Amino acid sequence: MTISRTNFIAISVTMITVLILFQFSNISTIYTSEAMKNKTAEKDITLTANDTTQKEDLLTRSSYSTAIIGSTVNRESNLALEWCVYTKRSFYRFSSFEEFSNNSSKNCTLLITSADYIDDDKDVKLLLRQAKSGVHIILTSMPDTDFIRDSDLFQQLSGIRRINRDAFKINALTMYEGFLLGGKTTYRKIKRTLPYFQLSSGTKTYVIGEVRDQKALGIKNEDLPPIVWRNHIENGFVFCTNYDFFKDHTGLGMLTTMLSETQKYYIYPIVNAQNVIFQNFPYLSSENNEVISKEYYYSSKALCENVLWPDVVSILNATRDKFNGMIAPKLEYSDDSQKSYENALTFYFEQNEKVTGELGLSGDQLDGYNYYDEKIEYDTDLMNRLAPEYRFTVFSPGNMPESIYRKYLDNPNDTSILADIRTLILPKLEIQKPILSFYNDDIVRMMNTVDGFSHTNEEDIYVRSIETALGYSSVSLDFTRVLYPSGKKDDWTKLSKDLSRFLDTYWSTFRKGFKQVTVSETDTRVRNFFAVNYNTFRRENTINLSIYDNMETSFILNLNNERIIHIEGAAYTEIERGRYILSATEKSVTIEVTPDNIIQQ
Amino acid sequence: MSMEVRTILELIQVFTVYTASVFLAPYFVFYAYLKDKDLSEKFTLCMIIGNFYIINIVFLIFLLHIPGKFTLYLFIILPALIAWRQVNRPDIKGSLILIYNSISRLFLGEAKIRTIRDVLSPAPKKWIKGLIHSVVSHAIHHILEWIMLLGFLTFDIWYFGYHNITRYSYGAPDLTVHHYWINEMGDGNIFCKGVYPFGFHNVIYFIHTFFNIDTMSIMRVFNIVQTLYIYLMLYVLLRKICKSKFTPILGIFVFTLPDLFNYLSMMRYQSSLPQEFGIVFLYPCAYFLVEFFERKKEEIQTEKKLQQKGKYYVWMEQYHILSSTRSLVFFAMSFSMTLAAHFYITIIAIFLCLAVAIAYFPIVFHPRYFFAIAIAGILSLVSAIAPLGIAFAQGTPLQGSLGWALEIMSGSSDDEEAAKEENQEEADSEATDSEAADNEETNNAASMPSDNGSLSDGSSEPDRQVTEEIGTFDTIITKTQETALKIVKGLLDFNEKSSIFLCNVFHGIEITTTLILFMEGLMVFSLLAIIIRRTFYYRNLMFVALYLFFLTLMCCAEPFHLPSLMELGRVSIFMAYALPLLVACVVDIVYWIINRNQNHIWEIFPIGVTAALTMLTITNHFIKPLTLVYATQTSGEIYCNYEIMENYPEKTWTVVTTTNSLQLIKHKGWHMEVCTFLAKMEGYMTSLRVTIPTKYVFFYIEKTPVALGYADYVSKPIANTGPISREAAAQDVNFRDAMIYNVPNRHIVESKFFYWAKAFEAKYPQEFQVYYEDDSFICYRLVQNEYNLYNFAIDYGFNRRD
Repeated sequence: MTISRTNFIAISVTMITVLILFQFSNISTIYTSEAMKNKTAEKDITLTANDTTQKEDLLTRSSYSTAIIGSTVNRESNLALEWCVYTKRSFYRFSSFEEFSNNSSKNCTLLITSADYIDDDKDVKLLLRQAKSGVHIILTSMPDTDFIRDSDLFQQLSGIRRINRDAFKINALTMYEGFLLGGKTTYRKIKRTLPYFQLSSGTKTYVIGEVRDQKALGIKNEDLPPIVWRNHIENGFVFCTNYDFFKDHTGLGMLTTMLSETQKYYIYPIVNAQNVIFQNFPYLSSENNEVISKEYYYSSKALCENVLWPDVVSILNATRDKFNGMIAPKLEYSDDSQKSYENALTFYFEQNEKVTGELGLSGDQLDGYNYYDEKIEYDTDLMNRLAPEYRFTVFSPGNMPESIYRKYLDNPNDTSILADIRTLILPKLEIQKPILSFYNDDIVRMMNTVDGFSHTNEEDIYVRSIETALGYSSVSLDFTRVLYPSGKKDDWTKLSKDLSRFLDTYWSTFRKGFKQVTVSETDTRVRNFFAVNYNTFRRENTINLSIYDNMETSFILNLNNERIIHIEGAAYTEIERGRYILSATEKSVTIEVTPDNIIQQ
Repeated sequence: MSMEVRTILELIQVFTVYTASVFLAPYFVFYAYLKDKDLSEKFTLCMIIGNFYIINIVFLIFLLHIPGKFTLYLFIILPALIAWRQVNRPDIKGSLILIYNSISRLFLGEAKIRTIRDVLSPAPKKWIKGLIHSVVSHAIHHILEWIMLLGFLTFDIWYFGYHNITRYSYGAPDLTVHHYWINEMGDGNIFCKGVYPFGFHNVIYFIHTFFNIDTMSIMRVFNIVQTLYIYLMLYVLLRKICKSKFTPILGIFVFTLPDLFNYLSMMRYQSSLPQEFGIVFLYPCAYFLVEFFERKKEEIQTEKKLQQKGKYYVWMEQYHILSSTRSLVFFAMSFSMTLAAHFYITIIAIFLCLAVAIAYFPIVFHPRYFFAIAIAGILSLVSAIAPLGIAFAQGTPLQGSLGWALEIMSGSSDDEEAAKEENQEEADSEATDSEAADNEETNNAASMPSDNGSLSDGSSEPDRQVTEEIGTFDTIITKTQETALKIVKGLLDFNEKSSIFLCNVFHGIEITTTLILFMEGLMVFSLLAIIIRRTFYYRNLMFVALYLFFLTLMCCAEPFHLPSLMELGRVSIFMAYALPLLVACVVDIVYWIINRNQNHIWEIFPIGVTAALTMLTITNHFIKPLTLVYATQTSGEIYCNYEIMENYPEKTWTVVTTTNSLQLIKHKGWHMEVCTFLAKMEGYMTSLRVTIPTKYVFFYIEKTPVALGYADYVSKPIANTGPISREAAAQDVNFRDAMIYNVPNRHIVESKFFYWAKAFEAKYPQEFQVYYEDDSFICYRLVQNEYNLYNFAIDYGFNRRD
């Protein structure tokens, strides 16, 4: 069989064309790659702390809208203050009821106090008077039962009909739909001993304690121990909390919901960002090889590249989360024998580009306080050498004390790897600090809200609360657990399964509703969130939202038994019945609402 | 969707399904038997067959204790299909083979779709063509009749549907009871409150179950549908009796347009009530009885002719059912349905049949007529009473209202008996006196011969004879004069009393006097005509006159000291319904007299009379005004019932209201009585708790409480007790009584309920929302957490313990 010359040429040309076409994309990717540059990093900081609304701007003694009773060391009052900054409410903090009574404000619509500051019936009378005049009161804790038993006025204020038991064991806690985002949930692992109150009519309960053998004890659902409830006093509502939700940031979302319950509608700004942050991953060295080899039959480096990375990518693909890797070049800086692998760094930078993630720097090291400076020096040297064009803008100090990194961040002439940092990611443990704040004028400080390998009942309430208040979550995954396992519980197979199911089940509602972004995008959103200034008013069934300073902010609109029928100037998503995320596209947003399933005439 | 549109759509829906069930379906099944009959006969036959079938099938499945949707479908469809096959003998096998072959050919490629279409289409094409042809042909030949008839019927739809479309609610308080009974049938429980004529309920149950239409929707509009059929039955009977095609339309006009009748005669048609449903079957009794006489006569004549010709073998009576027998069967079915619907209709039907029987005297006593009628009557009674009897035998007691009806009859009759006894005594005493006088005369007369005999001895025979003749003649004349005077006096007395008393039924003495004169005139005329001509036409006129006479006696039972069989309000309905028969017959006589040549041109006379009277009625503003209707519920309440049932999942909601809506929402949601609700928090203490365990709770509050059971003109706002007030809320209230929702307690209850709602709204401003509000009604909605219910017991200012 022979082939003609013409045919031969045609076949050859076709084959070459196909070859070029297939190879072109790969070749072009290599040539146009910017893996060694930080594409997500903003070139300039457009919004600094000075451009935003901070607590100093909201503090007013004469025309505050929120009165906070509590000292500066009182956690609940600090939390209330933090919440006022997020919701842009003018406030004033009073150290006692006496001080408050001497400095009343006509604009005051909300009073937040801990029961610790209620000393006698005089204070209760003051609260009752305030409630009757239309000031809503939030009691972040309850006084002791003897005080309640003796004070009819407090019973009247809080809607407590009687005290069934001074101490009663609850075996679970149920949070009803319409309170925090996430719907009705029963937390079966929360077991506490609390005072057992019987409420009077006219109250509404949001959270209750479950009782073992409820049927046998003949307790009706309505009689279960109330945890969070509302009472009505003429023109005002009184919210009571019979639990320590306000000991940490868990109270943030509750404050938002409580305020929302007092109004027909409530609009407040949110960050609208969901992060997943991989602490100490990518890992560029190969330490602890002996243990890792025994556990996984891989070296540390190979485990990271061949097992961890594919799994991480697979999980993130499934949940549509963005990759935020905090690089750990090494973890043991006392051992000079182990170096960071150049090819590992290239691998992760290239892979990161493919998944459009972001890389930052981890501050963790395992050799004690003395090695932090050495770590920064080593990391600076390594990155200057291997990725000189990459600007590290995100820093997650991990276990690095603030005193160490402060030296670098506060130094304007710093030339270290931390010179370009604009986002600090703090671990969740630092409960005294706000969830979101400015570290200094330029640097935004964000706190992790949840450990990605753990899910306890308290953590779930914490996450739901922060999501409700801020539309923000930062899931932290510390890979030191994988690289330095301390037992079966640190096995990657288990941890990856946990991570996958936590992201895909418990937190899926929020991940579907809010934006899944990189840390730098979150940074921008946080700056916008702090900078936004807005005003809302309602005329009949039309709500107007006017945004003055920064319109690139999202808002949550809470409607009580109403729904949106038309909106102009914003896009909206319904995350739950009556709860919408608004993403403004114009400075003036008009929202038409209608009563939910009500006959219109 | 507005309630007006919804009601109209429901009316169309219910009319369509009912007509399809009782007219189209029987027509389809008995097509071969009915196809040659005229439209009015087809209509009457189908109506009777359809209703009889439905009523008895429903009875059957309940008495067999197998009620349900599936059994209803099975028992309704299967026998109907068998009957269709038996009557029409369709070539089912041939048709199936044809279809199978055609499809096979199509798939095998032996024929194209066009060929198959040509094979299969001729039969349906022919059928459709025939249908169109018959409709068009009928319309062309009867266009004027249809225009006039539909014109009046349209007015009737507006008149009797005005209440339904503007107020939405039931027009009578007892409808909720009937609704309850039908709901209980839905739960498999017939005769839930005792044995009662359930014909009406069976039909509503059938429509509800078979077509999946909500009972409330059916009950709200079924009165319009049944009233339309009542009118059509009147028309059909007049078509049977009258010579002219247009005098029946005059009858329809009389019953439709002019303001002749008292409100009692018309207001019940605004509600879907069993008695009014039974009226549909009243005139078919007369229709088929008359038809029986006509056909029997024809059959006897035919039989005689064949006998004379020696071809008696042609008349093989034993091998086929005679058409007269069929008429009698349909008469029996009609009569049984009067009993199945309501006993009062049966009483009237008995008088109607009695009138026919007297009019057909002495034919009716001919053995060939009498025994057939007697058997038919017995069978009809048996078929109607059998279901009730079986239920009674199974242990179900009689329903209370039956006892009540019997009490009314017996109670009245006691009085009447007393009066009768008095009269009887008087009559007896008079009779005794007259007998004595007669005897005296007789004795005198008897003694006279002897006297005369003794006298005759001294007088001549001829003189004596002349004297005797003159004496006898004078006595006869005197007696005749006395009798005539007595008759005239009695007649005048009857006319006077009945004219006055019938003013309770008709508007004005002029109308009642004319009615009496027409009735008597018709009676005399038809009597003379029967004597002279002996045609059935005059007998029919006679039965109409007699029927009116009987009804007049029933209406005037009180002045004439007769036993009262039913209250005047009820008789007046039948009296009003009978008047068109009389007027149409009178006009028809005139038409018949002037149109001896049977020229159709003289139809101009009834047309002219109808048109002229219509014009006069309109120009003189004599059109009957909208009548009275009972106050039962606010329109807002009905509207909310519909909206809630349509928009909220079943059994997830509760309505707190009076008992009026209980049956309406029963199968969709829950109901709590407002009195129960308020009573639970009366004497308020903080320990009180009132909870309702559904996600949604609706509170119906009447801002102007309904004056339950009070009637007012339908054009006016619903009868109410005035706006609720704090003063009323502060009054003592009765929460436990049969009359708690009647005036004046309802006013207090609703006032308390309103102030409770206001107090609750203050405590739950976001949760407690106004769902619907109008001038007289407000509905609140509360969305609850089902796991932690609200305590509705609050201190609302009018429930504290003093």
